[in-house]
Amino acid sequence: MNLPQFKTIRRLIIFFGICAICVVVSHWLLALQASEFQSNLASVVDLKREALAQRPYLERLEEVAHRDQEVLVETERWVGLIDTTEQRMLQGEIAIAPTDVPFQQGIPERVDGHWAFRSLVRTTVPACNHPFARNPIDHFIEAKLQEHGKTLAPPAEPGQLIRRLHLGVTGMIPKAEEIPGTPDGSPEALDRWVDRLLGSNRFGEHWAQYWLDLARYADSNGYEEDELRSHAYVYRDFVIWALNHNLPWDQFMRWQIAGDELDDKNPLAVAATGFLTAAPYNSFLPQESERFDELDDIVSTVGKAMLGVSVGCARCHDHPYDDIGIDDYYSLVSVFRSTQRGDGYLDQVAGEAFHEVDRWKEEVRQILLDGARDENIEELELSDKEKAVLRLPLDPNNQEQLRLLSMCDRCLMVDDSYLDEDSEPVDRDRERYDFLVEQIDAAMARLPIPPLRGLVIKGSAVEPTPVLWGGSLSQQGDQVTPRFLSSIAIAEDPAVHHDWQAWDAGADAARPRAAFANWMTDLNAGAGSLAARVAVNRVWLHYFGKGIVDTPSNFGREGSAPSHPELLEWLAGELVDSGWNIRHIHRLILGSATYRQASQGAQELDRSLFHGWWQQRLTAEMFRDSMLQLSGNFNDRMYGPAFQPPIPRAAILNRDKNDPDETWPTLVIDRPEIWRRSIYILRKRTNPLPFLQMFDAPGGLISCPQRRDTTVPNQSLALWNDGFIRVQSHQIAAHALADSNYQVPGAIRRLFLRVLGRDAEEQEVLRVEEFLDQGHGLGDFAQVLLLSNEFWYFN
Amino acid sequence: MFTRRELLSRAGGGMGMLALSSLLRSETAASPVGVHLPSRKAKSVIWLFMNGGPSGIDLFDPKPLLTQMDGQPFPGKIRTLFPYPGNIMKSPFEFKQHGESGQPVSNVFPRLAKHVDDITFLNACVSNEQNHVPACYVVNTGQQQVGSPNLGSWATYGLANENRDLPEYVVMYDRRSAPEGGANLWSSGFLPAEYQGTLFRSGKHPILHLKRPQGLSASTQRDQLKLLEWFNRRSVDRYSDGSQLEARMKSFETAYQMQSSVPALADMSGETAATLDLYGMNDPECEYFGAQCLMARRMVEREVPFIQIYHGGYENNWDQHGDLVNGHTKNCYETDQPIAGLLTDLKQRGLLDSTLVIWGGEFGRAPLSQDKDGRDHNPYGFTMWMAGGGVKRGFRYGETDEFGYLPIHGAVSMPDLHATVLHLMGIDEERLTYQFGGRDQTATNGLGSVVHEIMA
Repeated sequence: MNLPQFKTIRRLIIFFGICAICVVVSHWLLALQASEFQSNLASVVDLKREALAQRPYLERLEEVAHRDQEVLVETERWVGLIDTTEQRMLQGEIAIAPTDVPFQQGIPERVDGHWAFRSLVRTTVPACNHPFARNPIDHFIEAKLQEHGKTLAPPAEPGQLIRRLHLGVTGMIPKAEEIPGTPDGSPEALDRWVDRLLGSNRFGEHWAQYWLDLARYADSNGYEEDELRSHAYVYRDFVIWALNHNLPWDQFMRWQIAGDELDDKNPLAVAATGFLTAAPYNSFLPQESERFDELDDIVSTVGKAMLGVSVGCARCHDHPYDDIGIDDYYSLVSVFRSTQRGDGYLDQVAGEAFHEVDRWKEEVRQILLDGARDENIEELELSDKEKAVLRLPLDPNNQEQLRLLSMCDRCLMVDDSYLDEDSEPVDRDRERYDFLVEQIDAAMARLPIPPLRGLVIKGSAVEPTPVLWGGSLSQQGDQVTPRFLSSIAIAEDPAVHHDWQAWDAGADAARPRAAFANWMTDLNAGAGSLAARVAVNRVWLHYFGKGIVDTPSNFGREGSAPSHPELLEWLAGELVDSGWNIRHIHRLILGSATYRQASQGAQELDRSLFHGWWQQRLTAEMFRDSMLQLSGNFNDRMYGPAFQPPIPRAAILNRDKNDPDETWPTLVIDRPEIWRRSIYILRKRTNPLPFLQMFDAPGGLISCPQRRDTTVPNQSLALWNDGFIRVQSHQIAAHALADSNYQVPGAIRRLFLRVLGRDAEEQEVLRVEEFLDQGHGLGDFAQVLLLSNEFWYFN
Repeated sequence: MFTRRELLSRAGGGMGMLALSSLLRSETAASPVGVHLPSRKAKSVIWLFMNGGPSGIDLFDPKPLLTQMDGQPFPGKIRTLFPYPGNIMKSPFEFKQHGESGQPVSNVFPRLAKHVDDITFLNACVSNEQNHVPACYVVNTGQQQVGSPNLGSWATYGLANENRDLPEYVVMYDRRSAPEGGANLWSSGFLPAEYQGTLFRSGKHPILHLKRPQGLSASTQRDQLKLLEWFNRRSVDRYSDGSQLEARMKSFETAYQMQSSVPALADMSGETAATLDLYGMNDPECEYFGAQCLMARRMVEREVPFIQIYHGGYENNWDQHGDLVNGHTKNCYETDQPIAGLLTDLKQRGLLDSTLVIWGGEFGRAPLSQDKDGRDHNPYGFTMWMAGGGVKRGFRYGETDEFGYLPIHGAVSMPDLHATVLHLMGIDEERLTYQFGGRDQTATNGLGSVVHEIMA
């Protein structure tokens, strides 16, 4: 039990002692005290005796506490590294690659053809004298509305706007203490509020989720083993950091493609390459075809997320709509072909001191794997002579060895799971092993703690790649090397894009990824104008629930045409003219009268014209985070390893029989870790958190540009019967009660204000009192508010 | 036993019948139109997924040459998952011909063997993937890469049923362990989440969150529902788009009713002793899978269109790289009576004609030995079978070479299989599209053809 909970209970007990006249509340209180509170906690955990019997409760508690402590230590180190990096960047110690590469000037630009692939045009802002209009966005929107005989809707009322802004910008409803200080509704006061919200750390946490959806981010490998990626989180944190520090958007994209090459001294740039490693990965006997699937995923995801082009369509044949040939596709594959994924040092300078010792460690590991293999051979029912043949180095011409292998090849396949403290080298390696262990011990005594690692990408070589017709390894065509897509870039001349090294002219060695990253954001000849259009449309999409282009990851010929082409062009121009300042775009949108329109009856509105405000549903994360905000449990600790909230045992697919907590903890212990923000929840691909999955959070399988809002009864069941939500409801009610001097009508009003952000109407209070008179608790009512459409759909 | 309507009206007590049969489909997923074929043979599909790769050449497709060449090296090249395949290995099981159709079944499936006259064997299925999880993706989605919708998702998307008081695409998995790949195997991929498989567990509360937590009574919940409706109706005017909200309101009523309709579905106390026996539920080794097969029949009666049951998971599966005899004997024993019982029961209730039963794994097994007495994977030519639901009876289609390695004719790719299943379910696969990734996607994206040869 944490402190707020303790206080709540204590307050209730005191209250119960001094004021027993309020029948309604005491009903609730009796029920609560008698069983509900505890049993709800128990149902959150679904804690069964069998689990307890397997391992002593205290031992599990200790383990959890120990793990949390380790997480804290690692987080502190990571935050420390982020802070130092920021300092070094500010002081200019770490040079940052220029935001635009000034070359290829003056070449002919693409001015016709498909709209999205043309060079950016600076559009003229139409005149507008509408009294509500606040910035050019409104001019564009109003001009189109007038064409349809409509006009901008009046602004929403201040309370509604504050809620809309909080949810839109930070993904959470306002804190209780924020409500009294909110602006009265004057547009300028709201502007200052917008700046405040954009400056909050909650902003980056909320908007990072949209990008992580695109990046198909998760914390496990997927496939057979679905191993956890304990160092993947640095990429998630990079995205949060980049948004909170307003990293120029072009640099944000470039770092994710080639941060390790462009700014190798910057740990955050290195962490950014986690984008390329975020996809599912099969670690068990990976097949060559799967390597091409992996590369396809990289090329397709870069195409969709950053360029809004379905490059992946050209994997098997020329792109049917956009001018992308199969050879273009494999040229892009070859940009990434030499990459390897792995846990690498983020601070590469600090990491250098460890390279030697890491090599030794790797050698020790190989020696011990050999030992494990040898042990497996020893256990076979074979003669000593046969065992000796198996122990020889593998020789495809040794028939006897092949015969033996066919009987026991799996025993030679050993991995880290075979290694433990008792692992021993074989005799012939003994001397080397002892020597290495000694070296490692000496080095470790001498060296500081090893620097932090992240799941990142390495490898810069140019590796020719065969064109695979039909995507099949058995139909290999010509070998191709890197070159970029001329059809979607600003310079029309293909030769400009085939000379890929020109985009990384200063480099000592060939760095196809760096060149590609520069090309992608280049505004003179590369794909910069397309990338800018895609970026601003995404910001628009997530504020309005609908993009100017309805197919946010497909700006190609088969994608939707923009509803407001001039506005999109103007926003993209604002982005690049401001030095790719994405927050400038946020501010423009949030400051516009278009964003601040009131919601009106459906008959009068036309969504494609952005006429009036259309309700939006909370995402799973927004719901959970807002609920924690309300219950007072929210822990705002940022960054670091992911956490696993407890889930019902029935939701665990493959639990380790000896240790169910290994897969997902079922043991609920009220500890700060589980009250953290949803973006820090562990995303396990084969066993996602049911609540997230149910409410449309993508599973990290493919790039997801926009979540669907599905409505299925399972969601309603979860909101009703999940013990977690029940407990939060009771805590929210308890706070309201305490804040209103334990007067029920006051508590009802308080709940309306807190949960829905508005005053209760008299009729509503009466109706709720009627509900309580039926013998139900205030917590039951608070839950109804959490379930209501008004909470889930914000205006 | 109650009919669905009875159940719902009982459960609904005083709630009004508003949402009894109409349940909300999310607005974003407009129901497809013009995709339904004039006839729908299979109202329901029961897919018995034998996870790990059952060996067709040891169960349904005897290859005499393997016996002749037992112990000799394979003449030519053969692809397996592990790098050092052994020599040719004959089947350790004995085959006999059964039924009027005289189809061979080995002695580990004695009860199933009596049903061969109802079965169409597909002896040359192809999944082309050597690893389990990608092969499971191929079998479920047609693609080896994760992220495409499952056949069950396409089917429920295409059927566009209004009746949603029970989940439409149900997945049951082995109590001992779930299959590798977990939730990704029943993912709706790029289709909306409402089309993903719903896990149906054993016991009284087979769906997650079906059980009210302690301290929340049915009467409180009913009054909560009333209050919630009252609020929601009041707030409708505040919004621009009411249909979304209307749908959500109904979902709470349905959720409320599911708390009695689903346990009623799961409650088998009304089944006769003879029925339980038929599904092998008095035999501890068959009990669990038998209960799932019986549950599937109960779902078919309630018109649940797509049901998948995984036998075998991360452990206890059909993946016999070693000790084929014991592994397959055990797996067959656990499933033989339940499957035979299911076919018998469906038939005697007149449901087999409208229910398509599919049996198979993610691949078959190679004709060579591995670890002396096991077999490695063979995704290039393996056996699956179908029964009922509009396919021929006592028929076999497709043939692999005399080693049981590669197809000679009648190869059925997984997209072919999917096109065929959708066709039997009355869905025009080519017209059932969903816009994703820059184009109109279909269940097979033009790679699958309906296998008309097996249609009854």
